[in-house]
Amino acid sequence: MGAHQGLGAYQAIVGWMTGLGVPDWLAGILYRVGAGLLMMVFISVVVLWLIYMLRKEMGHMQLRMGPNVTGPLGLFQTVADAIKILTKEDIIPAAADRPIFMLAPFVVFFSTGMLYMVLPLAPTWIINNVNVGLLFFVAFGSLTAFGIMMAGWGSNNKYSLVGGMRSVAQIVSYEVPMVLSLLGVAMLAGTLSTGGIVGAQRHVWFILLQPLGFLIYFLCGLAETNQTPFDLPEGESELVSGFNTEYSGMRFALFYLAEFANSFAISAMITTLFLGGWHGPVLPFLPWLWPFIWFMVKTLLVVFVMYWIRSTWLRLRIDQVMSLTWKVLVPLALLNVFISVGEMAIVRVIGG
Amino acid sequence: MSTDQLGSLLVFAGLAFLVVGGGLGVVFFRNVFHAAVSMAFAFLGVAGIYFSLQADFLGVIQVLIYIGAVAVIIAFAIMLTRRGDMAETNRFVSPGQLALGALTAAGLWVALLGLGLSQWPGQPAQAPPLPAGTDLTLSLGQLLLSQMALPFEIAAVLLLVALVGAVLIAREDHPGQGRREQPGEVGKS
Repeated sequence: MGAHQGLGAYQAIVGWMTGLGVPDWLAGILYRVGAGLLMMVFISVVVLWLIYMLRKEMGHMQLRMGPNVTGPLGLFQTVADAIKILTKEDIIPAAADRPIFMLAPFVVFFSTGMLYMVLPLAPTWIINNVNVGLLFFVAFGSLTAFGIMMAGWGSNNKYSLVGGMRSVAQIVSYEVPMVLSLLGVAMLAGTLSTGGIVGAQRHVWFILLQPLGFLIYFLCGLAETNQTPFDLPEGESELVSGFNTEYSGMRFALFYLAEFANSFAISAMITTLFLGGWHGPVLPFLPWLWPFIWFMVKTLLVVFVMYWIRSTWLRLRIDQVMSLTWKVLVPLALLNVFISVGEMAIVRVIGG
Repeated sequence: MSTDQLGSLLVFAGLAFLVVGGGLGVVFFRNVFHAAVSMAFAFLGVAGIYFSLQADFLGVIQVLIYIGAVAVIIAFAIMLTRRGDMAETNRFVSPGQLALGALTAAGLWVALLGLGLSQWPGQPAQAPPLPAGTDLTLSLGQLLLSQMALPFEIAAVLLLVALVGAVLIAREDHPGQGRREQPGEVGKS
């Protein structure tokens, strides 16, 4: 794995550990475990913030206050909720398919956590700069479908099963226009590595060259993460929250965590692919931190728009969801591929 | 063996455990849905082995195709053919079939072992090392669209044939009946 070590500090940290007398192989493992733990902490903090942000934003848009009692501005409300949910009883229905039921939240959370491996948070802050990072993101994004299906099946509840089936149908269908819309970006950047794609946007952000691709990817991202207007798998009014009806306590918390972590990951990917990633003006004060700040600002802006849609739009019907992807998004994504080819030709002619 | 290989050996042991355990689960689980899930885990282990061999592209494709598509489709098929009692859906039918299966597995094992140990005529003992900085994905793509274009296109035609066949099988012809009303059209007619 030495060929593409991310997180520029690899050599320094492993060198420091071997200097202390830690054998090489152990230092490598410790480094990777440490990076993974760091990412878990990052995910938890981001999710705590996202839940607070959603409730505040939704509240203000619907002329309510949102949480405002626990702590300053209600900031500790999500922390209190997290403690409550972790201490609740973990109920497993008697008729559930036990091993499948118990494993499903971990599969969903595992696939979400893997997404964070290829997010370039700053020039050197990337866990593993795989040279197929973009495909990696798509592949592990689709793994969520399997976990949700396991949850729907394992619960042994017809509403959960319908929710799981809907989720899989949706994720599998929306993957087609999603991958097609990414094709334009990959062609313009000439690489599949997420770090390389950000590097290719030094001069111009891809949203200016690929407005159609951006729109398609944004919609597919909403569908992949089961967000309004595509939140049919949970549809409270018809399916009593779908695949996670039977879950409680820690296992429900994992689903919840994965949902918010997923929406952050998709927004971070939109930032990486279309909004120039960590590019932005670097000020003399703490120069190494600015790329990360720009990245977070852009990503949270995308999340803000997602939650804006979530608090104002209605839910689509399942046949509308399906005809949107196959009859509108796939042809548009194919059109986008041709547009990208034209752009490539223009770039070649002017010799950019 | 030097100590710097110990880390990758540990990783390989874990992944091999996942692959072999998943494979055994496919055969021995009584509930066919459990078998499908354990097959997904075996696929995941294979993807992990590809990653540890630095074949990133192959590993990603393994996850995308085998878990994201094949395992999901198999699980769907199982759900559609649901029996009353799921616990007894994956069973050995007769001793004769059991013996046949064991013989096939043993034959395959011998054949694979023979292939692994022997050398093809003209095959070099070891692949020549790639020049430093080769982008494997890039060279794979160029190969697929130039030298290997014909097999690549034939595979695409095969998939198209499968798709058309599936539509043909799934289409129900009711000569006496008119077109069924689509859910989105309620109240329009």
